[in-house]
Amino acid sequence: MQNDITDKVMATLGVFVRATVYVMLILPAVIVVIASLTQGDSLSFPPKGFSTQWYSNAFASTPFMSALWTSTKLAVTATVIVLSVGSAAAFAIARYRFIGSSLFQSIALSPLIVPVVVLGLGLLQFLSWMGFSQSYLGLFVGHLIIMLPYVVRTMVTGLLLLDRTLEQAAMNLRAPPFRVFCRITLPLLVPSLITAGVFAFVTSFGNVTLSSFLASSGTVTLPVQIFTYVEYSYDPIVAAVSTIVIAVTAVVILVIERAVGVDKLF
Amino acid sequence: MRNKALLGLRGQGEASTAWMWQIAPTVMLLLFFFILPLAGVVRTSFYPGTRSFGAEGFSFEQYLKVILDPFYRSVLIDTIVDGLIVSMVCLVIGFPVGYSLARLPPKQRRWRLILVILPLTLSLVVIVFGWIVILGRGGLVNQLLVSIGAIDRPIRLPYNRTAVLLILVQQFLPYMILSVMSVCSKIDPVLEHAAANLRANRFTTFRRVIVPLAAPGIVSGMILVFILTVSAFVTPRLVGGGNVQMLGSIIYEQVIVALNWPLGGALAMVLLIVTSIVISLANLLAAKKFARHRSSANAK
Amino acid sequence: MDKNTAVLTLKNLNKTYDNTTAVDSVSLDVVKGELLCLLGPSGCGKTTTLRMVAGFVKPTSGSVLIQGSDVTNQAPYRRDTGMVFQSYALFPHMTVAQNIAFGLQNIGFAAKAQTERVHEMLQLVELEHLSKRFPAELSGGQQQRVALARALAMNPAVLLLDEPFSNLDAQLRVRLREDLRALLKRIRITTLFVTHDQEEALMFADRVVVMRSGRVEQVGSPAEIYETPATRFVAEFIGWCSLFEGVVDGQGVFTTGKSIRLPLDHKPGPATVIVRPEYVKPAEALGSGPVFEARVTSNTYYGALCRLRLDVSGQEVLMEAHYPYGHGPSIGDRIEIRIDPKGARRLPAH
Ligand SMILES: Nc1ncnc2c1ncn2[C@@H]1O[C@H](COP(=O)(O)OP(=O)(O)OP(=O)(O)O)[C@@H](O)[C@H]1O
Ligand SMILES: [Mg+2]
Repeated sequence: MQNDITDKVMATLGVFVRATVYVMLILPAVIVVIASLTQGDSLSFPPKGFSTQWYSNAFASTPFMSALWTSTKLAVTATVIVLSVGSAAAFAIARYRFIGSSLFQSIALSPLIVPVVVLGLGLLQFLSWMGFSQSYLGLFVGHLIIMLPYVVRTMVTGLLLLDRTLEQAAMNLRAPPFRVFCRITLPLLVPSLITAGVFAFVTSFGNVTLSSFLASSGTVTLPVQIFTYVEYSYDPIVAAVSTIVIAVTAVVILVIERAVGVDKLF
Repeated sequence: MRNKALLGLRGQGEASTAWMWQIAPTVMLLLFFFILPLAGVVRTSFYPGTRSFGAEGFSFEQYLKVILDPFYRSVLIDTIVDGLIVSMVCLVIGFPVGYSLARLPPKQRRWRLILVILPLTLSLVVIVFGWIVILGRGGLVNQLLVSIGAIDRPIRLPYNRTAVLLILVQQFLPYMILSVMSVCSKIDPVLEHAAANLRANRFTTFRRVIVPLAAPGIVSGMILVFILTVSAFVTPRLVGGGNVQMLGSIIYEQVIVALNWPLGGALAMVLLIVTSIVISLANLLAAKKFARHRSSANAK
Repeated sequence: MDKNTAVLTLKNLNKTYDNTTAVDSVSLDVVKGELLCLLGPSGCGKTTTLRMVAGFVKPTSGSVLIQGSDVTNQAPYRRDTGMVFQSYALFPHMTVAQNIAFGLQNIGFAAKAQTERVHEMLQLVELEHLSKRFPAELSGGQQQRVALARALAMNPAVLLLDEPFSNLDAQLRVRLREDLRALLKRIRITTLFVTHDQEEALMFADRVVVMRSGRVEQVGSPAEIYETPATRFVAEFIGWCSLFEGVVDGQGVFTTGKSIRLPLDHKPGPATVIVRPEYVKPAEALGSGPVFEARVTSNTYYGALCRLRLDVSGQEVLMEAHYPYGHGPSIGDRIEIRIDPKGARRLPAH
């Protein structure tokens, strides 16, 4: 009898907590999208009237649009580079036993747990010592560093799960190593590559913490632009721009869902 | 033959140097843009004075300032407390979600998981902006309060510590949920059936079976949330304005606004030391308490 | 090619890992069209031997010859071997037809020839209707046949099978191994295969190599291995048997202490004798041979026969007999048995 009561309390509490959490998680994004469609001049909720005027304003705004272009260019190029560099490293970690292998792996994963402000200061200072401050290059390498852990982790897992006997079978069928790689290893790694690439992309595209240390007037990314804008004023144009960011992120997540399935990620 | 080695397709036990070529780019990247910059922060924190460029000399001046100045000391303590609060709250409300995700059939899990991943991958600044809209003068909460007659006119809701912590919880909750989910999906449900069969109610099963087995995921999730919280600066700046100071935001201030890198460096080092201590303590605790049965739990 | 030249030769093959010896000076010849089986308990080095032949494991010493040429240091993808892996290793991202065509592409088959050969192979394993399926959409037995077709399509000098039936359920296993044996005999392919199942080895192979901790224990036809095992290990590993330690006297009579006495035409001296359980019968079922009094210590019903453990004045004797409806003796019963002297085998002295 007593058992039944605790069980019921726990079940009810669980349902309540879960519902609250899901609502809370999605609330900011939903509110931003709705607020962006307002007719009024100030942010309010519920929005006054319906219009898409703030989108026209956003698309006409040079700072926001050039920042969007910078962010996209940065995220795409950095993803391509980090995928090749990080996958090669993952190959070594997963397939060779060498001295320092596990040390190397944990250093490659550690940008995840080093506070961004520390890394931001370090990179800012190091790049200015090297004479690269305020440059696109600085932003670029900074992003590579914070994308690297996702790629290494995903690719190492993918490689370790790949059945090596498939490669042996291909060799037994007279396929030379490069052919085995192209026809067997690579196709079987595609889901891992997509996952790693998507996470790398969104990490770079949405990053504000590191970028705000490394960005300069010529290299403002969209999140940094939103950050500086919101610091001083906010009006519905930010909501419209933010909705663009939400849309890009959502599309990218749906790509993973379609290509790999989100429940295979974790 | 060389090809074969490069692609890692050699037979077992054969020596090869292919791994060197494979890790070389990453090693260079990490060395020049991760390890050396961090070492640079260590050096800078020992410069005297407030000059960021061309500073010289060696002194403990900055560290003394951080420790002796009551302002920095209280910010440090507040930040650590905030980190503990946020990670505890994330655990308490994130655990039920992570656990239920692990137990749901794939079809139902998919959409809920998307709800968790979207805020994780969405730019932090967009999330914070969303909260400003929710809590702002013309925002959702004010409208609700006015309409139910709790207040007469919209009030200023953000700009306090509670709001900052609420927003930080929401931002970092996905990390906790996913961490708990991945460890719980490795716990065999049969163990719970066995506990129920031994007359344990849900709470006892939860406390005596699930929590001990999920401990590694709980610890790693809490560590991650703690680190993210103590180094946060976007949220405190945008929501807290000048009223809520956190370690991350004063470091940002010193580095970007005040351009006082030596002090920023010392604060950053203190942050790094605090996080390292917390990580080691948490791991030590978890290892002590749970290490002995972890092996059998993982060997499903 | 001469019928008796070896297609595959292993010369003094050794493989040591850090501190374990997996394969210890194994030498073998497999002749054209022969089905040779490596049989032994788990961990005795069968898979390692097979992998050395395919080239995935490099021998520590010794050599592998395929059709007379030394391939010990040749890359796996240059060797003329076709392997069916224990897990089948079908490429999950290719259809059945693409799996089979993969190898043909690697040895330069033209598109048209590929299609023909794939079709021919699918006909051989009776899977024409499944050519467009992916491996995940096939049953275990079908997967095995695809793996076989894929290996056979290359027309390899030696076919290598690693526990080909271990992933199948018991009934399917019995049926498939008869089919597979008939097929391999029909196309007269030289086959080296590995199993730890003695029944499978006996019914499948032309010749059996019994291995024990990396060494070859005995080589012979299934009948030789079963009827005249060379060692105690082989006798006990292959099927059930009673084992008697004793001496043979000048008259050719074998005795163990006081319980067992059997006529044996062999030279005098100490001897180990084995008797398979089918040579032990209830006294009334066998016309001749010495009669022993036995106490039943266990009786297990297997349907067509019962397996009994008997105690003949302290000596354990195993018997197989047919008792309809399970009306056999119960534990503790005393029965009379005869041992057919023709079934008594003396193990070679060492
Ligand atoms: N890569 C390896 N490293 C170290 N030892 C190994 C390796 N591969 C095999 N061994 C050892 O070599 C011995 C023979 O292994 P092998 O796989 O050939 O056995 P097997 O006869 O095929 O057994 P099973 O019937 O279980 O498949 C075993 O003791 C095994 O532990
Ligand atoms: Mg084996």
